Amino acid sequence: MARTRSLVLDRDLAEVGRMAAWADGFARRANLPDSVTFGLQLCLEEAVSNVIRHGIAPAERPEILVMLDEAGDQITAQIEDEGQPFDPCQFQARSRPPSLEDAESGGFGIPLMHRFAAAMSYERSGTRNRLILKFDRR
Amino acid sequence: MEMVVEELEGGVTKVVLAGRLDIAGSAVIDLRFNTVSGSRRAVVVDMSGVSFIASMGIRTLVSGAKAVRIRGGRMVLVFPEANVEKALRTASIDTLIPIYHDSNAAVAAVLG
Repeated sequence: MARTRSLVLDRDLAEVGRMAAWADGFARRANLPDSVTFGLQLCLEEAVSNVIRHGIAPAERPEILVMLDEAGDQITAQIEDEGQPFDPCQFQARSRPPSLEDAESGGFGIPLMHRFAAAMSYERSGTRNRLILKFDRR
Repeated sequence: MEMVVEELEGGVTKVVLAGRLDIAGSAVIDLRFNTVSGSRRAVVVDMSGVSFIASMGIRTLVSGAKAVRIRGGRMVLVFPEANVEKALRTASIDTLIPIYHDSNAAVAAVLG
């Protein structure tokens, strides 16, 4: 049976913890394997924290909408906001740093999303960013 | 997020992390982890109790390893849970901070 849940977040990194607890509840009700729950939680944290840290939204529409949908063997996460257009699917992973001294301390988030989601797509719909992440139950 | 520091024989420091190394968890340990990393030369980080890691947690580990390296020392990770290890390897962290599943090998590695 298909089921969809949605959550509205303020643009505040403290909200990421509330989202994690909400997504954990969704995963338990859907009886997702631990590895899928891990990937879902990881991708949601990276996607939403990117929006909060880097996206500039109009003051009258600052919210972030997160939706989770279970249909058959597929889980879909959709993150929408009205910030500046940003397509994480276009981000190119950096090459491996040759040494710890040369390593940067950031930039890990989007490669992790590519690795843990089965599919990732972005669309700009009017003034909204819409990021869609898909996960296979198995 | 919990962090316990143990001093082992031979000047090796063991840092035991437990909990979710996400945005909130990283914020809890960042200062202490950097303080320990910035003052030790041989650090083994026990990851067995870490149930989740995201990019902010990886950033914490890399910052700490760099601080140890600047002092001419070494940091390694031991016993990461399978999903945590998958995230670390995806971020190519294993090429910068070696991962072990053997305590003796980890201690030997940081002592060089």
